[in-house]
Amino acid sequence: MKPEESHLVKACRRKDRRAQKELYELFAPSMFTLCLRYTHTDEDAMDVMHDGFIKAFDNIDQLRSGDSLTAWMKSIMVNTAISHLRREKRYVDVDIADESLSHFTAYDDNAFDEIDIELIMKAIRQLPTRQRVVFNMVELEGYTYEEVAEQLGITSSAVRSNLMRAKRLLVEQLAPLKLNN
Amino acid sequence: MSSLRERFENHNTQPDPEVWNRIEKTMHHRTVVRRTVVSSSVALVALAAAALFWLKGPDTKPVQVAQKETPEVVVASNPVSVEEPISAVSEETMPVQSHEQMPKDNSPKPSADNNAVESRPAQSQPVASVAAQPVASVAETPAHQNVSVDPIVATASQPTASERPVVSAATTERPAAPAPKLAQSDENKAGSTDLIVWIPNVFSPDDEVAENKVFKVKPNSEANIRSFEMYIYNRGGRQVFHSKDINQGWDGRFNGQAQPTGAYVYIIQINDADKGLITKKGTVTLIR
Repeated sequence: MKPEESHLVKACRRKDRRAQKELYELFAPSMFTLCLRYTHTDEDAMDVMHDGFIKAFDNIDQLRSGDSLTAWMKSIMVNTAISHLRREKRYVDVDIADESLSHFTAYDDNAFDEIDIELIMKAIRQLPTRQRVVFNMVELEGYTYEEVAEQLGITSSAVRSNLMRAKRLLVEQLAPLKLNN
Repeated sequence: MSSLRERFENHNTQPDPEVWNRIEKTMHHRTVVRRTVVSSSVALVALAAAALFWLKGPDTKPVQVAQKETPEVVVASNPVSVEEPISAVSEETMPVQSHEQMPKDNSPKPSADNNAVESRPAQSQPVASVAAQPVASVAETPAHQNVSVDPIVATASQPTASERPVVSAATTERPAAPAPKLAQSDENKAGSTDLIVWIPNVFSPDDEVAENKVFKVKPNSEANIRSFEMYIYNRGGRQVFHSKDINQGWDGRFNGQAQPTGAYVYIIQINDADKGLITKKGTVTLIR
């Protein structure tokens, strides 16, 4: 934690309102991007954001001085998003059998290099909920398959196949744009 | 080009200000609710206390006041200052007229001789006058006090005109203010202690009978002791023993060294479930 962050955290522990607002303003832009990635609609993103920050303010006592504030905020938001989506019942639990993904080769780390990030964001948000969550957690947050499997209560192989499907869908949506460019 | 993850990490989206408004509203709402709950519970407790007070009637008032004061007594008796417990003993016993002629040698007074005598000429006058006041008030109600159980009682001197300097000598080190409080709280509690514990006045570590070897307070069947604390000081005013366990008595040793024959001052504080806070001071004689 950076010194100015730990200062802010201390003030937030005292329930200092100004400090809470400062913390919010510091993290709002990056966290809102995260929330948008996980949700289909802007209203859902705002709900997750709201619940996540309330949770952060409530539990800021548990944050140790050695922890990274950014990583802590992120994990709170991810957890909030997951439980939100679960509560919304939009979380369709369809376990996809590992169908043949052999034809899927188009995606690699640089697949979307030339595509505008707003368009990628839009495509991610169009993904089916489970694929969206898995893609976000693995590809953009850096969780391992096992961690995601544990958090979502599914098997690692289900994580894998959801990820593959997500990637394929993204490529299908974004590849034409790339060609057009 | 950087990876997709890095691109997203550097990609920020400003949320609608409405989000913060809602967060603030939620936080504020909860603070208000919490405050209301706290203040109403405080009011409830105050109301309950007032009702209890009213039910018990005015008679109970002095006792409650005395109990409230005892913590101060506790604080006052712990400090390094030796004169503290000793002078307290002498004041407690003052009202007992019959003992006033007893020789002063038994008393733990020596500390007064050691430390305070030098300052006597300078300080005796004002202190004497202050000390005399509480004593006088205590002396008016000595009849129903059974303080006399303690052998040490003799120590104390009745504040006759001639002896006043001695009293003042014993109290010189102590601020004048706590004196009335000590006297008062003891007055209120004197006698009640004896009902729930028995404090021996002599013990002998070299004795053959195990029971006599240790100075230990014995609670009787009526006692309902919640907490216990005992301090023992030697004639020099040094604390030679401290215990918070009523079952742990003093074996006459200090830092592993057998202490000499003589009188030792004890201060015992008991928090009894039925009788409240009780402070008992006195001396015990160690015999070898």
